Amino acid sequence: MILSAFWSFYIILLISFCLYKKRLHLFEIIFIWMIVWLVTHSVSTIITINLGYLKISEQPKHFWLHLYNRIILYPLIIVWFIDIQSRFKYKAKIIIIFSSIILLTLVEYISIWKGVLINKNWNVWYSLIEWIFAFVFVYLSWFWYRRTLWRKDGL
Amino acid sequence: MLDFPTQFDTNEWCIILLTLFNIILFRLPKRFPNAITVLIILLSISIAKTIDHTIAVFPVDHYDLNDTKRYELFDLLLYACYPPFGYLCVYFYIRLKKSGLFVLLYIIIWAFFAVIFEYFLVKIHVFKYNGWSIFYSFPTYLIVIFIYLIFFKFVLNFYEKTISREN
Repeated sequence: MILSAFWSFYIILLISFCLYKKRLHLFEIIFIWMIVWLVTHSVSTIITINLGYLKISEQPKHFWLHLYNRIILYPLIIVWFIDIQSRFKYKAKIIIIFSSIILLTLVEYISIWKGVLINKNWNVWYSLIEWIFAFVFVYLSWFWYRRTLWRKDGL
Repeated sequence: MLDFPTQFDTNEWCIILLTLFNIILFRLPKRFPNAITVLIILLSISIAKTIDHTIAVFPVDHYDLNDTKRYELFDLLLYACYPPFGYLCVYFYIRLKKSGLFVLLYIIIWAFFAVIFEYFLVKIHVFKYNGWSIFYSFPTYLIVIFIYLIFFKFVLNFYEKTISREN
């Protein structure tokens, strides 16, 4: 039940993203998506294994949900918000980026609430720090790649 | 947050040498546009990382990387060793300019090479199997190499189309 509900949600989100008129180049989307994978996998392993603040549920359905979140949901949210913020200037940009961090924190807390992740010693501030770090890292990497794409390769 | 190795021995030296090889390889004259090279490098790392962080961690835990079950500094450095594999795979594919059944043969040869290399890494304790087998690795590499080639062809075609549209 929970797995199919989440799957339906992911599919609706993915279809919406495909239909949405994007400002980012396809290569930028692929780039951001893969950078998010690299960051979230590392951060998740550090938090769950090295620090032990969260634990991944042993139930297979929860394990798969955690994987889908990292492979589909987190990259999708970050790509979408980077695309949206690219339409605005300064203050609006900061508000949009901060909203995305709040949303990512919320998704993580929904995972804890649904039992996908088990809280060992986690709190909302750690979650905010985690997503600020992830978002800033991805944003700066995207900025560098955008320069490569437009200036050096002349696309 | 990231652990240091419990013993600095063969596996750590091997990772350092592979990282140096990586740096030297990407100093050579470039054959692809920068934007595409970056995507190939990222794909090589992210496929390996996604697989490792899915089936090599709790609760699946089919194998371990390096000295301990925890995430070590050299586990992170290990991902710097994957880009040459993906890059050389598509590099020779383009140089050979073949199609049809040859592509299948090419994928099988690369998968064999990858399995032999993995066997070497198992011997020097970069990988420690807890239920995984080298026989599972062969079909995995077949899929991964196929994804590399499909992805590369797709981005290259997209790039050429974009360039020709703009000129």
